[in-house]
Amino acid sequence: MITKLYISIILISIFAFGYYLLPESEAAKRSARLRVRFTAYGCSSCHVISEAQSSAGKVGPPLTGLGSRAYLAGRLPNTHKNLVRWIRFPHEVDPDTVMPHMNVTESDAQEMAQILNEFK
Amino acid sequence: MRLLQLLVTATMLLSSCFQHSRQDPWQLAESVDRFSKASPEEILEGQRVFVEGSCSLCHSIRGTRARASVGPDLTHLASRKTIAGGTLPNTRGQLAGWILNPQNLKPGVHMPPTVLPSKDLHALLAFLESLK
Repeated sequence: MITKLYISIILISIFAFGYYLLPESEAAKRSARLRVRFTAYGCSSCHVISEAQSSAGKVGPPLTGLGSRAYLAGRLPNTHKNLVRWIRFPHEVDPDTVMPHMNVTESDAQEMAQILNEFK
Repeated sequence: MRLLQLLVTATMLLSSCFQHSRQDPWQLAESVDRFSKASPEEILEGQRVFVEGSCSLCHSIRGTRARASVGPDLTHLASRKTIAGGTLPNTRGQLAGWILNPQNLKPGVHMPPTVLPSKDLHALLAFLESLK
C-alpha cells in the first residue's frame, strides 16, 4: 500500500517536472519578453495590452491590436521607426502629450515596437 | 523513503535553476535610468504643483509646506525601490500611471485618481524624482 503510494508520488513528480521543462511556445516567449519590459518601464500602469496579459492600466489607450492601426499618437503613420521614436521621445512627437519620457533604451524600444506590431 | 526525499530535493533544486534563467521585470527595472535630467526650474515648478495641488492634502515632504499625514511621507521617494506599498517598481512610467489612476493598479486603495495637465504632470515627476 505504502509502496504504491510512493511510486505514484514519484511518477507524478516526474511528470510534473517534465511538463515544467517543456519549451514555451515562441508566441508565449515573446509576450513574456514584452511583459517584462512593460512592467519595468511602467507602460503597464497606463496601457492595457491583452496579448501580454496586462490589463490594469487605464490611463492611456489600450495597445491591443496595435499592429493593425493606421496612426500612432493621432499623427504618426504606424511604422516601426515611428513607434520606436514615440516610445523613446514622446515629447518630440507631441509636446503636449501626457505620456512621460521614460528613458527607454534603443534596444528595448526596438524590441517592444517589434512585438507590439505583431499584434494584429 | 530516502529515494523520495532525494527526488523531491533534486526536483526543487533543478526547478529553481530554471526559474533563475527566466527574465524578471524587477531586475530590468533596476537598470532603468530613473533620474531625469530636469532643469532646476522644472523641479521647482513640480514642487509648486505638489504643494498647491491636491497631493499635499494627504502627503508630507519635509522641507516644504506639505505636512499632511493621511498618506505616506514622500520625503525620500526617489530612494525607494517600489511604490504603491511594494506592488510596483519605482520607475517614471509606473509613478505617472499611479498618480493619474491608482484605482486600477491597486483596487480599493485610498488614493484617488488625479487629473493633471500634461505640463504639471511632467514637472511633478521631475520633482518627485529629485527626492533622493
